Amino acid sequence: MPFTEIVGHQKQLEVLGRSLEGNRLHHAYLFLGPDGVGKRTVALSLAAVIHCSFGNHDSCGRCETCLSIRDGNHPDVRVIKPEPGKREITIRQMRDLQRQLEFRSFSGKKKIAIIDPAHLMNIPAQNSLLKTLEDPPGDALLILISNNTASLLSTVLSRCLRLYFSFISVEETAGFLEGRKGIAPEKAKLLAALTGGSLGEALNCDENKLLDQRKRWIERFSSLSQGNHRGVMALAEEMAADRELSLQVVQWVEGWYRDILIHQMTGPEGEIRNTDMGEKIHEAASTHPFKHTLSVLSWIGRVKGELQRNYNRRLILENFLIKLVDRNPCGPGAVPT
Amino acid sequence: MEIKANREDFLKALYWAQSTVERRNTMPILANVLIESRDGNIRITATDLEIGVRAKLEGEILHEGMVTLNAKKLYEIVREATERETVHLRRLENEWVEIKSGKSVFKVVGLDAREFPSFPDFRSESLVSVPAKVLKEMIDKTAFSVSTDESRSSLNGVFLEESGGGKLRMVATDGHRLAFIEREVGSLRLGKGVILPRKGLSELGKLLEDMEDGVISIGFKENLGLVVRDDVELFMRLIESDYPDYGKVIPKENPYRVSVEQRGLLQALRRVSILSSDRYKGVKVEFRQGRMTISANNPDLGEAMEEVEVEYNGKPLTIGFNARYLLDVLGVLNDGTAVGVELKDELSPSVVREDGDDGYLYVIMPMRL
Repeated sequence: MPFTEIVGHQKQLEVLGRSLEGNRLHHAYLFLGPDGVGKRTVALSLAAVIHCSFGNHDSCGRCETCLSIRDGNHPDVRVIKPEPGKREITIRQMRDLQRQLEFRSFSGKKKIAIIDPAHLMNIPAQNSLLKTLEDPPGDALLILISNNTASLLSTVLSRCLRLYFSFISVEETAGFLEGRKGIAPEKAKLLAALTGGSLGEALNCDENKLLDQRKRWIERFSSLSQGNHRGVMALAEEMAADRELSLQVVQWVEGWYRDILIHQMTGPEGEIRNTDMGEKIHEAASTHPFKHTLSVLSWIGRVKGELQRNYNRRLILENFLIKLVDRNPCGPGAVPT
Repeated sequence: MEIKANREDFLKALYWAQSTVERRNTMPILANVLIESRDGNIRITATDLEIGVRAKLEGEILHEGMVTLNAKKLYEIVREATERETVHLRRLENEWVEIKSGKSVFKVVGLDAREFPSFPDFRSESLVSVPAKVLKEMIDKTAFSVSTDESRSSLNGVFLEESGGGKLRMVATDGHRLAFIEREVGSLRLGKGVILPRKGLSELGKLLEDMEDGVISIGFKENLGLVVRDDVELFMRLIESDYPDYGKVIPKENPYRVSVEQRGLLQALRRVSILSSDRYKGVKVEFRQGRMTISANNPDLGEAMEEVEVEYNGKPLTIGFNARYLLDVLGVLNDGTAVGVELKDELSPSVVREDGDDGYLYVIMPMRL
C-alpha cells in the first residue's frame, strides 16, 4: 500500500520518508504502539517503497513487486510471526532468519525482516537476535513491531530506533469508514469511538458483538460486589472457556476503566470510548478510588500478556477478579454504602 | 496454458526442480514449481530462495501461459503415470490445473504464478564457458573443507576469485584446515571475490556429474551466481560477508619435506584411525629418517601403530593430526601419486601438496596430543 493511502500516522511516515530520501534509514526499527493502528501496514509499505521500481518516493501498489510484498511472497521481504499452532516466536525461527540474511539479497535491493509481534519472541529468541540487530549482514533492515516494551529485553530495545504509533484520531477513523467503506456517518462515529482509533479493529469488528455483548459483559463486571467470590468463580469459568472471548472481554473492561480514568482526570468532557454508557461512567468515576482505577489498569496489562501465553486462563482470571473485588471495598463501579 | 509432454521427459525436468523445493515452507509458494510455456519453450522452475533451478522440458505447447503446482504432488503424479505415457497439463479457472495421463485425471489447485519469485535475468554475454571437468575438480578438491559452523557465515562457502592471467582460485576453510586450488580456465569477469554457499555447490556438483569434456556456462552478478548446462539453469545467492585473508595462514617457508605415496598413506591412516577417539580422530605421526610412524592411542579401546616408508631427511619430528582432515585430502588427490608434506615444527601448520601440481595445496593445523 502506498504511503499516501495510509490513514493517520503522518508524522511517522514523514520521518521514514525523510530518512529514505536522505538514505539515512536505520537498520533496526521498533514500531511501538497499540494493536490494530496500522504498524504492520506501515512496515510493509516501507518495504514496498524500497522495492517498488515504478513509484517515485512512494510505491505504486499495483506492480508485481508491490503485490507480492502485500501477499508475503516477496523473496527479500519476510514477516516473522509465531508458527501455526504456536504462541511464541522461537529461536529456531530466528536462526532461520539469520541464515537467510547471510545471503545477498535476491533482487539486489534491501533485505527486510518484519518481526510481528516482536513481544512474542521468547527470551532465547530475543537473545539470539542481538548480534543481528546490532550489525545486520549487508544492508538488511529489521523492523520489530510490538504493543509494549515490557516483554522485550532491554538489550533488544537499546538496539532499535523506536518509532511511536498512537491511536488514529476518532475523526480520521470515522472519516475513513465513511468515505472509503461507505458506512453511515452516525454508525461510523460510534464504531470509531468504540474501537478507540484502531482502524484494524474498526474494520474487522462484528457490530452487534461490539454493541450488545460489550455492554452486557461490562455490566456483569461492574455489578460484582465485594466478597462475591462465588460470582467471581462463575464469571472466570465462563470467560476462560474461550481464549478469544477472554481476551476480548478483558479488552472491553480495559476500555471501561480507561473511560473511568479519563472521566476522573478530565471531567465529563473527556474523550470516552463507551459513548453509549456515559451515565454509568459518570457514576463509577465519582465513586471509584482513583488509585484503584490505576492499579486495575496495570493488572489488566499483565493479564492480557498472560492470556496470550500458554497459562491457565481460569487461574489468571480468578486471580485478577478477586483482586478487583477485594482491593476495592465497594466493588468496581458500585456505589459505596 | 496447456502443454503435453512425455512422462520420461517430464520426470527428468522435475528431478532437478523437486530436489530444490523448500522443505520448511516459510513461504507457501516455494513448495510449488512454476511451469511456464512461452516462445516455444516449456520451463520448470523451483527455488528455496538460496538456490533455484530452471529446467527445460521437451514437449508440445498448445497454449502459452504459466501455472504453479505443488512440487511433490506433481512429481508423484508424473512418476506414477504409465511408462511412456503422455502427460497432458491444462490450466482451468481460478488457478486449478487439470493433469491427464492415460485414463487418469487429476485436478490440482495451484497458486498465482505471478507471485513466484522471478528467475534472475542474465544476459547471455555475461556468461563465460568453463570446462566442466576442471570446475568439478576444483569443487571436489575444496568443498570438503567448508565449515559447518553456522555462526561464521563467511566460512560457510567456497571463496572464488580471479588471480589474474585467466586463473581462477577456489579456497575453503573451517579454521582447522584450508584447501586452495588454482586452475587456468579463462577470465570470468569477476570484479571482487565471491562466496558460493554450500548448498549451491553441492547442486552444482550434481549438475557437473558425467559431463566429461563438456563445457558449462557460468556468470555472476552483484548478488547471484548462475550456471547453465544445456537445458538446466542453476542460480545461487552469494554469501554476504567478506572472506578472511586466507593468504596469511598459508605457511611460506616450511623447511622439512616428506614425500610419501598417496595410497599407502591413505590406507595406513584408515587402519590406525580405527582406534583413535571418535570425536577428534587424533593420531600421532612421528617423522624419522626414511620412515613415518602413525599411531593412535585410545584408553577405552587400546592402541594401533603402523609404519610407512617415506623420503625424509629433516630433523625428527612428532606431530599430532586429526586423521579425518588428512583422510579428506588424501581421498581427493589422484590415486597412487606422490604426496609432499611440508613441516616446520609440532605447533605450526603443515602443508600437503600433490607432486607435479603447483596449483593445489592443503593447510592442516596440528593437534596437541
